[in-house]
Amino acid sequence: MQQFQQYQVILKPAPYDVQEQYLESLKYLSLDISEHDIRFVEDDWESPTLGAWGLGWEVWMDGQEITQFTYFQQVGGINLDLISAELTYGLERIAILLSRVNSVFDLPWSPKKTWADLNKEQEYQFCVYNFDEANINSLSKYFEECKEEAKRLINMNLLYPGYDFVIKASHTFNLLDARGALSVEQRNNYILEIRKLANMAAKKWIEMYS
Amino acid sequence: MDRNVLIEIGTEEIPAGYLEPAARSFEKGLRDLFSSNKIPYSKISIFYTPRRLTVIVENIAEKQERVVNKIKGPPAALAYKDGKPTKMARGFASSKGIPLDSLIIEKIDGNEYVVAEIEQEIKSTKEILKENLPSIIKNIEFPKKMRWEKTNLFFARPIRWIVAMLGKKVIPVSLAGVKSSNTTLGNRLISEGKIKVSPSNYKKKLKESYVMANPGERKSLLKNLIEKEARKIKGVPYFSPGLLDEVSNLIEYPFVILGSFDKKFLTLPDKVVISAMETHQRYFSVKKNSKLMPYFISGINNKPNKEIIKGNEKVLTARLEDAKFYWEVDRKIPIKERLAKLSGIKWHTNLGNLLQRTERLIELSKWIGEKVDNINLSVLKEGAKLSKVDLTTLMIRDGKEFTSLEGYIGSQYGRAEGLSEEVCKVIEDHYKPRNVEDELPRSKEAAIVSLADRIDLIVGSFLAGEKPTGSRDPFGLRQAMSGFIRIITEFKFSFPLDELLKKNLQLFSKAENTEIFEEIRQFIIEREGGSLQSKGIRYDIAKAVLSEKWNVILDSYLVAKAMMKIREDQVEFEKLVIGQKRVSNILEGKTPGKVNKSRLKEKEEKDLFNKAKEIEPILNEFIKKKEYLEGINELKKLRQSIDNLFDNVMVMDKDEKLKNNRLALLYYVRSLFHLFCDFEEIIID
Repeated sequence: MQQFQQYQVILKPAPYDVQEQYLESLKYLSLDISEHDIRFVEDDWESPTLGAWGLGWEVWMDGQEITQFTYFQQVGGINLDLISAELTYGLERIAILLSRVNSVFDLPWSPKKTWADLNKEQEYQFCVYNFDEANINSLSKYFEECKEEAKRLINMNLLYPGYDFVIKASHTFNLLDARGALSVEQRNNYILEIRKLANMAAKKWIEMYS
Repeated sequence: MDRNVLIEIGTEEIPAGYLEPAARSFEKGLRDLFSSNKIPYSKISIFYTPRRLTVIVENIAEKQERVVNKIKGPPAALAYKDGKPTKMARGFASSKGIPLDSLIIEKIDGNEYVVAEIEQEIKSTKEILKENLPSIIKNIEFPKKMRWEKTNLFFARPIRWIVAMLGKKVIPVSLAGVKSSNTTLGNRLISEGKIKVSPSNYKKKLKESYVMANPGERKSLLKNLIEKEARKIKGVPYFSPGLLDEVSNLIEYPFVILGSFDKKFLTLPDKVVISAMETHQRYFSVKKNSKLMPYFISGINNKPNKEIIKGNEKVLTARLEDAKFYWEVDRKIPIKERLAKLSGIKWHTNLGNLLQRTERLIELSKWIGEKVDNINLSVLKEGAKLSKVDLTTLMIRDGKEFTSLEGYIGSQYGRAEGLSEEVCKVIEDHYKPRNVEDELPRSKEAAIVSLADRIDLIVGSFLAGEKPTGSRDPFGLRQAMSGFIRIITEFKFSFPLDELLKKNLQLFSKAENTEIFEEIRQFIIEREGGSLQSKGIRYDIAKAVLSEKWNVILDSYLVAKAMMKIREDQVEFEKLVIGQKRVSNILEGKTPGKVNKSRLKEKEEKDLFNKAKEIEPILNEFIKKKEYLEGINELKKLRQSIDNLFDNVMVMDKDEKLKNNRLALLYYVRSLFHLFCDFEEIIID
């Protein structure tokens, strides 16, 4: 999907009963966990481009993944002193469970309109763009521009706008990747380049603020 | 009295695949502790679920056995004079902190010495466990570990409780902010939570709280339940390798549900439907008369209810809908029209796209096909041409569970379009064998395209600078080459590799690159050596054979086998090898010219020459028929003549012309041996 909603909770440092707190939170969504099959299934989250990774699970409810649960170990290629737990609730998926519909398209947005009424056309258009129409040449150029801009800004201590360009480079890479425009080798090179930028930003943050 | 130890490490959910090895590592840590501290026990058992690693030790001693350390002191002759202790004895006793009269005298290496016996302090089992448990837990092995709290302990997932008991008493241990107790937790979803346990009632108490800690028991109950559900619909569950183990380690107590899906999805290829069930969802599929049924069975961690079944059905239906969508959309573009689309997918940055790769595969397949008997060349060419087209389909490009079905998907689309079964087989099987356990391609044509695919991957990767180094082999070239060798030896294909390599380099427009050629050649020889040794061929024989025969893999295999056979008769084997070694030694690597028959003077040289001339055509005949055992045995006929020559004729004659002619004769004899292998490499034990 092009557009989806995630509710992210970061608990830092991770409380010792974080899993129980998470399960408790489901009750507030009116999900009775004793009536469901909830499973913590191994899934280690990693963003190779951002040099960020952690260990954790995808949480399944009756076979459906509803949350990504990660203990962060590294960000920007730097080991973290304080481990946080990140809970990423997949809102559409939880909504599907709660409203007992079959797919995201059938989600009732209002008494008269469904999610499909609101978003299907937009999804379709982005699909066509992402898979067929995204311009590989201009995206490749834009990637280079973002890279240079990120370096320039971070080097002059404009860390936040600089980091924005790291994210833009990462997003542009995702588009190129979805378009099937990258060979295995190229893909690795792109990932390495963005990771370098992310590491640069992380080091700058430490230099400036810690 | 209860003299059992219970140690349970309570954790957040540990990945299924980690559990058994971790429990074994935990067990080993404790076994080592008990043996090095001399604490006897009768039995040690391990238990595990995703949320706990447990060891129970039965009938353990209360404390260590008595340990006496002996310390060698000065020689007895110096320590005692006339039966009275000297200053030296006193000094030794006081330095060890024991009374003078407890010193004893013992013979060590033939001489008498004063020895101090020092009793080691005896500790209680409880104390030893208390001191050592933290480090044993820390040292449990996992493929990946993480940190989660401020002491920065590394473990697979956070430790949340520890039960450590000797009998009814808690062994006080503290680790990663957790203090041991006698309290564990039951099933997360359906129990009341905290339970007090002891070593003797642990398993029973847990079962009451819906935790089956014994992995074997859990697995067999799960299997029974799955089979029972399948019987309800008169079906048989399909257990893919490893799936039952994995599912039984994803849950603490086995419950199962039977769900169904719309029959319309059964029009999809079987493997697609099974992939949708197994890859992510870990469901078991059900068959009746080996046909898939529109049902699935899932192992779950809670008591089944309609809601849970409906939820799982919804998830599977969504995955199957995806597959059906791909199947329908993909089929709008006929497979033959997809060929051109391959040009839009890059392979390597500097090595062009998949269409170019396909064009090479066609050429390489044709080249190999022409060297093999009974090949249907049109099937071969068509199969090679269509081998990669499924990489343009949505089903494969989606990157989800169906991506691993490459080849299979192409063949299914082909079949649906009415392509011949033989061509479809090439498309499906040209990836085989994917690993050492995998089956071989089912037809000669598929086998040839598989060879072409592998060699092109290897040559291409070397050209792109992606050759394997150490443990790094990102493109799986070693695996690719092992499969290449396996196909050739099983299908008995025979063709010169150097020509294939040159052909392949030429197709990359890199015919001139002799450096890469040599690198690949070395890589291939190394893999051939590994493959021969894995078939039980001795290292020296493999080396000897490869130095002459690397270029035709089938020959290297057959000659090596023949040599191993001949080696079974040690005496005969030595005769053969030593004869040739005598010849080689005197040549010292020289390569003299041709034998001049008129210069052969002595009867021994004439005899050797005639014998060699006589067997040469016979050898060539055997070689042609690949009857290497017979061929090598034929060489034995030269042995007597070689010995006679060396015993009676001076090879290094003063007459330069005679000498050179004799060397030429020996060189000619050597060349007959080398038709099979380089005998100089053979080691006689």
